[in-house]
Amino acid sequence: MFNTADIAAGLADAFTLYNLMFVIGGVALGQFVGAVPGLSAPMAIAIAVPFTFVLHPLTAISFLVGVGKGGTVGGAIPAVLINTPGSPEAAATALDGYPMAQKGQSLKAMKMSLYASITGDTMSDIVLITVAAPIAIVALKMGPVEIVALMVLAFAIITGLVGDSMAKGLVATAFGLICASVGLDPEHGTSRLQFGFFDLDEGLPLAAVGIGVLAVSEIVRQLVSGRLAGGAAVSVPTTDNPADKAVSWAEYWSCRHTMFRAGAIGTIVGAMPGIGATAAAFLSYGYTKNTSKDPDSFGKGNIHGVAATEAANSAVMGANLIPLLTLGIPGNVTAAMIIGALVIHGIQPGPLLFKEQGRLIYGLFGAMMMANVLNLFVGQVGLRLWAIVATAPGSLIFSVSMLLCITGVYLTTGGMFGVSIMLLFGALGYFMRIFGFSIVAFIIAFVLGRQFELSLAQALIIINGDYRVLIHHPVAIALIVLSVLCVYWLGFRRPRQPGQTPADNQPAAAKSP
Amino acid sequence: MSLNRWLGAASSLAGLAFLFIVIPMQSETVGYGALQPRTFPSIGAALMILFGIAQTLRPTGETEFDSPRAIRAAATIAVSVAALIAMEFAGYLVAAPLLVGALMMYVGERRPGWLAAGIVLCPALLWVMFEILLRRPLP
Repeated sequence: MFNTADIAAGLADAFTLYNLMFVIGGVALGQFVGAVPGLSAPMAIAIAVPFTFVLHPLTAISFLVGVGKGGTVGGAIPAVLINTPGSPEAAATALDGYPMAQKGQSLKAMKMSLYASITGDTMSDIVLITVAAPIAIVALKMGPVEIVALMVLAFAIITGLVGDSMAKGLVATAFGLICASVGLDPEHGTSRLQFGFFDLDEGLPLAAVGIGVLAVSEIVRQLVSGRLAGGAAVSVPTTDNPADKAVSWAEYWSCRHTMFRAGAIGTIVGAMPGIGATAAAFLSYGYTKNTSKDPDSFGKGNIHGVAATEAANSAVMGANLIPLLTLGIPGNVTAAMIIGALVIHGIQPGPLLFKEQGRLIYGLFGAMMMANVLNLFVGQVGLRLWAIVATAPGSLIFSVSMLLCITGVYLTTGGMFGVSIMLLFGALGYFMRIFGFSIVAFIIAFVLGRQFELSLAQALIIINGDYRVLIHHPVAIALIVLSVLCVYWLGFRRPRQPGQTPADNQPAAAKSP
Repeated sequence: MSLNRWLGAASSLAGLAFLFIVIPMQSETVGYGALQPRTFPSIGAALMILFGIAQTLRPTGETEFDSPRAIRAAATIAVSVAALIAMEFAGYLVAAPLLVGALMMYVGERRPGWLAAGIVLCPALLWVMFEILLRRPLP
C-alpha cells in the first residue's frame, strides 16, 4: 500500500512538462467557466470528460481535477464584481466581496479570494494525501455485505442533505438505479431494458447521461431563462489607492486563523458525501462572523468574510476525493464525473485502487499539489481577463456549450445514438430540475448502480438465505441502522427552511447571470 | 391538489409502470443465480412507488415550474434534435453553425459581432481542432 517506488514513480509521472501543460489548461478552463455565471466546474468537467478519452489516465484525471480547482477560484470573480456567484459555492463570497468591490476594492477582494482558495485547497489536499491510504487499508477489509450497507448509507445521506425533499431525492435515486440497470445484467449477461437497441449492451453511456443531465439540462434552463441576450457592460468602481488593488502580507497573515478554521470546516464537510461546497462556505462564514470581535462589519466588506468562504469552499475539492478514492463512493457531482472518467479509462475506483494503481494515485496527488500552485499563477495573471469573461453574453456561451456537448458525446460514443441519449437525458434532467428532483442523487445512483447490484448479488450468495449470518457482519448492521436513522432524522425530523437552496452541489443551481 | 402531490403520484405511477409493464417485458427469467435479472430494477421501481406515495401523502420541496418556459425548453430541445438530424445528412460544418445561430437568435441575440463569433468562429474552431489537429472524425 505504501510502496515508495510507486510514490516516486507517480510523482515523476505527475511532474512532466506534458502533464503540466494539461493541468495549466484545466485550471485556466476551470477559472474561465467559474467566472461565467451559469456555467460551473462540474458542468465543465462533464463536458470535458469525453475530450480526455485520448489522454493518458493520469493526464486526464489531473486535467479534470484542475478544472474543478480552477472552478472554485473563478466562481468568486462575478460574485465580487456583479454580486452574482459564478458557481453556487461562491454565493457566500458575494456577501462581503461585492461590498468591497463597491468600495473600489474589487481587485483586493478577488486576490484575497484567490489566496484563501489556494490555502484552503492545499490544506485539504494534505489531509487527503495523509488519510486516504490508511482509510483504504481499512476499506479493503470490507466484504460485499459491508459495501452494500455502505452504499445504502451513502444514498441515505446524499438524499437527506441534497435538495429540500428527501422523498423526491429517493425517487431520483431509485430512477438512477433503474437507469443503471439498462444493458446486459452483470450476473447472467441477459439483455435488460434495452428495447432492442444493441448499442445499449454495455448500459447507457455514462458520458451521454452525465452530460445530458448535468450540462444540457442547465444549458436549456439558462437559454429559456429570458435573461441572456443584450447583457449590458458592468461598471465596477475603482480608486487610485494602490492598497485597494492588492493584498498585503499583513492582511493575508491577519486572516490566517480564519483560513485555517475555514479549511478545516471545508475538509470535514467535503469528506462527507452530499453536503457540498456551498454549505461549507456558509457554515464557515457564519462561524467566522459569530466568533469575530466585530460581527457588524460582516456583510459590509470585511476581508475575513471573503477569506472564510473561499478557503472553505475550495477545501471541499480535495476532501471530496477521500470517499471516492478510498471507498469508490462519490460525494458530489464533481466526484461522480471523475469516477466516470476513471471508468472510461478502465480504472475501477475503490480501495483496490491504492493497491493496483498506486503509481496513478500518487501521480494524481502530485498533480493536485501542482494544480494548487498553478491555480495561484493562472489566477494572478488571469483575474483581469476572467473579469471581462464574467460579462460575456450568455447567448453565445450557452449556445456554443450546447454544440460542445454534442461534439463531445459524438466523439466519445462514436455516433449519433449517444447524442440522442444525451438529449433525452437533457430533457429529463431539465424537468427533474424544475420539479425539484435531485440531479445529484440521480447521477450518483446511476454511477454506483452497477457496483451496487454486483455487491448485492455477492452479498446474497454469502448470506445464502440464512439472515442469521448477518450477525457476523456487525459493521454492516451498524451502517444499515445508521442509514435508517439518517432517513428518519434528515427526512422527517430535520426542519426545512422556507426558500432553502434546493440543490447544493448541483451545477449552477439557480444562479442567474 | 398541489403540484408536489401530483409529482408524488406521477412518480408512483411511473414506478408501477416500470414494475408491472416495462421490466417484465424487457428482462428475461433465468433459473439460477443469486439475483434475477429483473430483481435489481424492480427494487428501484418499488422504491419509486414507495417514496412517490410518501411524497403524495406528505408533499415536501420546492418547484420552479413555469409552463411558458417549459414550452420554450421543449422548443430548444427540438432545435437540437433537428440539428442532429441535419448533422447526419448535411455534416457538422453545415449543421453546427445552424444550431448555434438558431439558439442565439432564439434567445434574442441580435448583435452582429456576437452572432458572427457564435455562428462562424466557434464551430470553425471546433472543426479545425478535432478534424485537423486531433484527427477525430466529426459527422
